[in-house]
Amino acid sequence: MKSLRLLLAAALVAVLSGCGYNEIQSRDEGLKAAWAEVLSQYQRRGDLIPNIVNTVKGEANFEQETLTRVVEARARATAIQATPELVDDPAALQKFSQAQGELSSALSRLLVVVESYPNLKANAGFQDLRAQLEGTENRIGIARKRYIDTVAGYNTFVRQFPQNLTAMIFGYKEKVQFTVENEAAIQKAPAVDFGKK
Amino acid sequence: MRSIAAHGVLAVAAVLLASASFAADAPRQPDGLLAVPPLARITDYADVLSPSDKRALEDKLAAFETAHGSQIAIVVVPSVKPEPIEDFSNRVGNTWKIGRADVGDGLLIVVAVQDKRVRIEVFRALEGAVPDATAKRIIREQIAPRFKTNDYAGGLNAALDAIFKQIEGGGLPAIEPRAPTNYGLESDTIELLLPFVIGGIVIGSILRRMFGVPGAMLAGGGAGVASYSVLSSALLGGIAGLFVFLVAAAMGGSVGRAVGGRRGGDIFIPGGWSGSGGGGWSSSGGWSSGGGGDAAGGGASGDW
Repeated sequence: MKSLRLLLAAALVAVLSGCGYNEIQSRDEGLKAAWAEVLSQYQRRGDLIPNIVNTVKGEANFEQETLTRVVEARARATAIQATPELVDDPAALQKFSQAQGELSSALSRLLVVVESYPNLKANAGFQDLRAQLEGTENRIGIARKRYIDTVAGYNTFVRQFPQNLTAMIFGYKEKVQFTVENEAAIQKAPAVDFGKK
Repeated sequence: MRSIAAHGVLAVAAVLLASASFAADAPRQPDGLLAVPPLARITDYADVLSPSDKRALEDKLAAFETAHGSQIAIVVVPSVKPEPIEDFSNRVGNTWKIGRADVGDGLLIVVAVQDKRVRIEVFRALEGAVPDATAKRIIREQIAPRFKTNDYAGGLNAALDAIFKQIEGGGLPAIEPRAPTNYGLESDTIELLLPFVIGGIVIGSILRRMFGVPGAMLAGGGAGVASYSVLSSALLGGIAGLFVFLVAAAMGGSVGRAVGGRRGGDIFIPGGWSGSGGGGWSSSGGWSSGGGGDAAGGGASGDW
């Protein structure tokens, strides 16, 4: 009896691994890890912003509008619950990505405006914060790129035969990709009007 | 005649010019981006380091690696355009994957001479020891002032001193002689297996006398399945079964000698269990990457 059960289990293992079940599992896990990395880098940036805002506030008559935009954009971005399940909902992902993109452009505008405040630029505390912000933006870029590559690999895999059957049976759907339009919005350089200061 | 001579001079000049402009650029990919250079501690496509500077920096990096384990490399190119320096250094970092295999402590300094851009790419395991702000400060205080006076070797040297100090205080695992990882069986595992193995050998040798080799096989299979059901490890079950079979078969006599001389007394389990250590770490002659590094975007870039 026992050997029959063992044999059945062995057969099941062979069938499942043959149709990509195990591979889907490990790719799914890889996706979760890549997404978690994206979220943690956004989180890291969100945590940096209060320090930056406070340091900039210390500079007398700093352009208020730029600062307000950063604060508001951060509030909007953090208002969206960044859960691991976000990736399964295209609309929510789009909203999240857009809010983070707006925060990116508000921040890069802030950095451009800072150029016209020599005291602030020379402030050691601000220089450190700025280095951290640049590093975090770079990490976000890499984390997003890795996530996009992972999703592309996963989607190609579950669409192929015979994994498509396995995916269908076990309910693994294609994952939502970061869209190209909002990628463009994120990378767009901020328009700066040097006329008014 | 004169025109031929003039042509000759022109041709020579053209060749010289071509080779000069060739020497002043790093190999590029078909898409126009810089190709990732072959792995080396010091790469200098811009010819800003003299051979003796190069050797001194190389020795410095090698000595640090021997003492602390971290792998550091320097890449100097004329220009990274059209790519941002961050993208290029990330590509190099994730192709080379420098840093100890089990630690991942790699660091890369990329200099683009014509762009006047420099980047310290800190791999993930060193992000704590060399935070972004510190990397930026090293660029600002050690590298930029010296690069401004074309003292590239001096700038890199000073930067390395500062980076070494950070890594030494960064609480990374000390370098240890690569002791072979212990893949050996745990003693309590052996205790659990022992009854099956001994019982299997006793029964197997009796069966071997009665039925020949198939009898030993039967005993081996039985011992294997029994071990598997107790330890729920197919590998250990298989090994126990094979072992019982070999010993039982050998007990019977002639067959034992036929099976590669593995006799009853020979307790060693055949095949690759000694743990020959991880690959990629032997630096006899050339330098090899530890393969553990992950460049996830840490570090800082700056101008001079």
